[in-house]
Amino acid sequence: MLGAFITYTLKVATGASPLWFVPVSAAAMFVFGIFLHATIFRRLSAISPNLDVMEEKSLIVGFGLLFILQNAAVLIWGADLHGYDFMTESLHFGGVVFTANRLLVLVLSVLFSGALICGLRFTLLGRAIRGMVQAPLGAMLVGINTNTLHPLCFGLGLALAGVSGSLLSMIYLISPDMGTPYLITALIVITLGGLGSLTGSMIGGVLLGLVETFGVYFTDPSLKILLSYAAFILVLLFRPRGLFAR
Amino acid sequence: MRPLTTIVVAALIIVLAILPFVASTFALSLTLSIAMYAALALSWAMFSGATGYVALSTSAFFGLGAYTCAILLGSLPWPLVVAAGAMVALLLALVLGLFVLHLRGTYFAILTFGISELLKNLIMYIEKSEFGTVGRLMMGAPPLSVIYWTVLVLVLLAAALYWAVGRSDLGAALRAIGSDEGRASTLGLNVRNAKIAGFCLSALIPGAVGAAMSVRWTYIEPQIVFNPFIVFQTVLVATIGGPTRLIGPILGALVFGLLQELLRLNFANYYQILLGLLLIFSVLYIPNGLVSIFMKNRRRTLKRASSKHA
Amino acid sequence: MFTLAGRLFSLSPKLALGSGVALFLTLVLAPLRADDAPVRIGYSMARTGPNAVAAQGGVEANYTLWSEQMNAAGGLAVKGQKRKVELVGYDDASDVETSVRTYEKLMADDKVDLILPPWGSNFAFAVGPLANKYGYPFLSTTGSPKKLLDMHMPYFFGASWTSEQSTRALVDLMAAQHVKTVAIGYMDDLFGLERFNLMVPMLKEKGITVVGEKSFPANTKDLSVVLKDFKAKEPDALVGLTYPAESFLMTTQTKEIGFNPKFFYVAIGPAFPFFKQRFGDAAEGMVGFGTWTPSEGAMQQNYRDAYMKRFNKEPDRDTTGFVWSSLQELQGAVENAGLDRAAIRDYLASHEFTTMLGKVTYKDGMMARASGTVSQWQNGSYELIWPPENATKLRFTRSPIGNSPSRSVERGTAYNKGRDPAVAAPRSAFLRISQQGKIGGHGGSIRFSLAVCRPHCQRPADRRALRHHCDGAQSAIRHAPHPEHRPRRVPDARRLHHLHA
Repeated sequence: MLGAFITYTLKVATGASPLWFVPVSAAAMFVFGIFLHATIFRRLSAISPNLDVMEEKSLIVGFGLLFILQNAAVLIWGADLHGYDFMTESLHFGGVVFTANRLLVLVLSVLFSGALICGLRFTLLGRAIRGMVQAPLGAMLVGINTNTLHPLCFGLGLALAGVSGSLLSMIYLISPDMGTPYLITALIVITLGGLGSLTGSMIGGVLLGLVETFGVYFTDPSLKILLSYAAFILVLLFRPRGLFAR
Repeated sequence: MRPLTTIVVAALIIVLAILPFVASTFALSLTLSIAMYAALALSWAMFSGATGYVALSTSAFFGLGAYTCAILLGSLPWPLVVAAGAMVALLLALVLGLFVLHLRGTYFAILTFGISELLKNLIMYIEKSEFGTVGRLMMGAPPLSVIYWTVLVLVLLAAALYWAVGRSDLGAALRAIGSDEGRASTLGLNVRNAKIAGFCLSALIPGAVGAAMSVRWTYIEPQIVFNPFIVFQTVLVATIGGPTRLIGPILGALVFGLLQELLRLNFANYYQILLGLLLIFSVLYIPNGLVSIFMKNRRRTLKRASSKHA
Repeated sequence: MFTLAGRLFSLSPKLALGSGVALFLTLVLAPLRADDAPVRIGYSMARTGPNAVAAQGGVEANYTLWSEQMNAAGGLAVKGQKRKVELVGYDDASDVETSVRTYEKLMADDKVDLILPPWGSNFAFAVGPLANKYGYPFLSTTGSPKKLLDMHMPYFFGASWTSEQSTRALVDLMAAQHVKTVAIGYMDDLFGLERFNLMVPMLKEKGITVVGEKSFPANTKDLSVVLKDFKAKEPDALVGLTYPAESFLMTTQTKEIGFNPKFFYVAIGPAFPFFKQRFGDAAEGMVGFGTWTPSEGAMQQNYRDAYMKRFNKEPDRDTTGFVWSSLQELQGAVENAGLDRAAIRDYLASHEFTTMLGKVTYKDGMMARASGTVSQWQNGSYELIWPPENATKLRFTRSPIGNSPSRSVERGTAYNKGRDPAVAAPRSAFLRISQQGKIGGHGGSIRFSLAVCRPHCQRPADRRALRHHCDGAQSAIRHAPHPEHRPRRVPDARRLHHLHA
C-alpha cells in the first residue's frame, strides 16, 4: 500500500519555498492529504475487495492525480523554470566541501526521518499506527479508531513529501514535472528495504546512494541507473521481500 | 458465438480493413492509435488480468520491438521485421520470467517497471560506447495504410490469443493463480511454468506493436521507445475497460482514445486535468470497468446498433 | 462485440458528415475564401508533459506574439494583400505519436495554409518528413540534428545553427582565447554525443587537448564526482554540452567544489534570464548558447519590449531568436510568394532575409554560414561575443570592459579586508590577482583588482601579453600544493573586443 501511495505523493511534492515555508508546505500537504483521503481513498478502500486490488486502483488514481496536479501547476505557475539562490556558500569540514544548502537539506531530512521513526516506535500514536498496519481488524478490536488514524497517516505521508519537495527546491530547479524522477527512486528504495519497514527504507536509501556514488566514481555516470537497478534486482532475487522484511 | 455476433464482428473487421480507402488521414491515424492501445491492453490483460500480477513491462517489450525494427528495417521484408520484434520481446520475457516471477504484488510491479529503465540505459550505454551515437534513423518506412493494417492484424491476433488462452488449460491455470496461488500449487499445478508461459505470450504482441509503430517516428532513441507513459496508458486502458473480458480492453482503448482526443482538441489547456478527473471518477464509481455497465444493456444496444446499421 | 460496433458507428457518421460539410464548404465558400478568410497556420506544441517548460516560453509564446502583431497591423501581407492570421494550435502532451497524428490532421484533413514546427528534435525527426511529404515548408527551429539535415528534404529548413556551426563557434572562440586544455561534460543523447563527436576533431585541429570527458544521462542529480575529476586535471576551459537542469547543476557544483575554470561554457541554460536571477554574480562570465541580445539594434530591442509587455517576462536569448527569425522569414516569403507552398519553399531557398539573427540565407536546407554564435554574461547582461566576423554580417555587441572600476575596487578590497594580504610577494599582477581572487572567493573581484593593479589591463587582454608577464607565476600556481590556489576564472572572453576591434 505504501508503495502505491508514495507514487503520487512524491509527484505532488513540487512545493517551492525556502526554509520558512517548509512547515507551511508540510501543513498544506497534510490538509491536502486529509482532503484526498476523505474524497477518494475512503471510497477506494470501501470498494476494493482486497489489498492487491486497492494497490492497483490507487496506482491508477495516482496517475489521475498526477495529470491533474501537474497541469494545474502549469496553469498556475506557467511552464517556466523556477528556482532561487539560497545558502549557496561553501562550507569546509576537514577537507570536505559542502554548500550550506545541501548540508541543511541533509540535516533536515535526517532529522525528519529520525523523528518519524522515533515517533512511530515510541509514542502511543506511533504504536497505534504500526498496529493498524499489521492488523487493521485487531487494531480496531483493541479500541484504535482507524477511521481517524487512516487519514492522519495519509496526511502525514503527504506532509513529508511536501517537506522533501520544499527541501529539494533549495538545491534544484523547480518545474511541474520535477517529481517524476524521484518516483522510481523512491519505489526502489522502499522495495529495497522492504515494504512497510521504515528503518528498511532509510537503510535502503542510504545503500542505493552509496551504490550510485561509488559506482559512478569507479565506472561511468551513464551506468548509474544501470547499477542501481542491478543492485535492486540482485537484492530481490535473493530476498524477494526486501532486505529488512520480517 | 451467436450468429448475430459473428456477422457483426466479421462486418466490423471488413469495415476496419477498408478504412484506409475511405477515411480521412486523421481518422485513420486516430484509429491506429486506438488499435495500438487495444492490442497492448489485450496482451496486458491476458496475463495480468487473469493472474493479478501487475506487470509493468509493456514499455520494455515495446521498446525492444522498436529497436529490433530499427536494426532490421530494410534488410528483411516488413512482416518478418514485425515478427522479429515479437520474438525478441518473447526472449526478454522468457529471461525475465525465469528470474522475477517468484516475486509478488508491488515487488513484481516495480521490478518489471524497472526493466524498461534498465534496458533504456543499457542500450544507451552500448550505443554510446560502441557506435559513438545514440538513436537510429528508420529509412524506408512503409506507408500509413500498411502500418495500419499491420496493427489491425496485431489487434486481431491479440484478441485471438486472449480468447484462445482464456479457453485453454493455461488460461484456467492463470486464473487459478490469480485467485489463490498457494492452493493452485498445492493442487499439483506447476505455477512457475504456467506463469512463465503466460508472461511470454503476453510479450509477443507488444514487441510486434513496438516494431510496427516506431517507423512512424523516422528516428528512435531509447528515451522515446522505452517511454513509461506507454505502460501507464496500457494499464489505464485495460483497467478502465475491465481486464477480465475480451472486449474490456478494446472498449477501454476506444473510449479512452476518443475521449482523450476529443478533450485534447477542444479543451487545449485543461484537457489533462479533465482526463485525470474522469480517470479517478471511473476508478471510484465504475470499479469493474466500463464493460460492466455496457454488459447490462448489451442486448438493447446491440439491437439498436443493428437496426441503425440496417 | 459491441465495442467494434461502437467504433464503426462513432466513425462512419462523422466521416460522412465531415466529408459532406467539407464538400459544401469547398463548393459554396471557396470563392469567398481566397481573399477574406484568415490565413490558417497550424502546429502542435508541448503544452503539457516534460517538454512544456522549454516549448512554451521559447516557442509557442512567439507564435502567439507574432500572430497578434500581424493581426494588430491589419494582417499578414500575402502578395500585398493583408489577411488575418488564425493560429490552429494543439497540445501534443510531449508525445511524438500525438504530434504526428496532429500534423496529419492539420496537413491532410484541415489543409491549413502553413504549419509551424513543434518543439524538439525527436519531433522534428517525425514531423519533418511528413511535412516534406505533404509539401509544407518546415522551418525547424528547435531541432536540426545532422542526421536529419543529411536526409536533404526539399521542404525542410534547419532554421537554427546546425550542431556543426554552433560547435565550430565554440571551438574558434576557445582557440582565440588561447585555451590549451579543456574538460568536456556532455549529455548521453543525440544532442550531446553529436556535438561531442564534432568537437573532438575540431579541437585537435586547433591544438587544444581534451584532458577530461564524461557523459551523463538526463536527470543526473549529482555531478560532483565528475567535476572533481575535471578539477584535478586543471583544464583552462570547462565545457558542458548540457540541458538547463544539468547546466545549472554544473554551475552550482563547480562553485561548491571550488573549481573555477578560466573559461566556463554550458550550452543551454545561461540564455534564460532566469540564470542571472538564480546565480546572481556567479553568472558573470558564463558562456553559452545565445543568438541575439537587445543591445544589437532596434529590431531586437522592440522584440524584447513587445515580449515583455505581452507575457510579463523576459524572453530567453537563444531559442526565441531562431523562432522569431523563422517567423520573419516565413512572413517575408509569404509576402512575396503568396500562399503557394512550393513558391514559398523556393523563395525561402533562394532569398536573403534580414531578421533578428542578422542576414539569413539557406543552402541545402541549412543556414548558410560558417559558424554559429556564442554569448556571455557580462555586467549583468547576456551579450553576443562570437564570431567577430561572419558571412551573415551579424552585428556584435561588445560591452566595454571594466567600465565601473570604482565599484569593483570597493568590492575587491572589501572581500580582501582582514584576510592574509598575500602569499609571498607576487611577481606579477596576474599572480596577485589570482591570489586575491582565491581569498576573496568571488569571481567578480578578479577583474576589478586587475584594474587597480594594472590599469592598462582593463581593456585587453590579449592574453599573450598577460602571459608574458606571469608565465612563471602561472606555473607556480599550477603546482602549488593546494589545489585551491589556482587562478580564478579569468574573464578572458570579456576582453574580446580587443580581438574584434
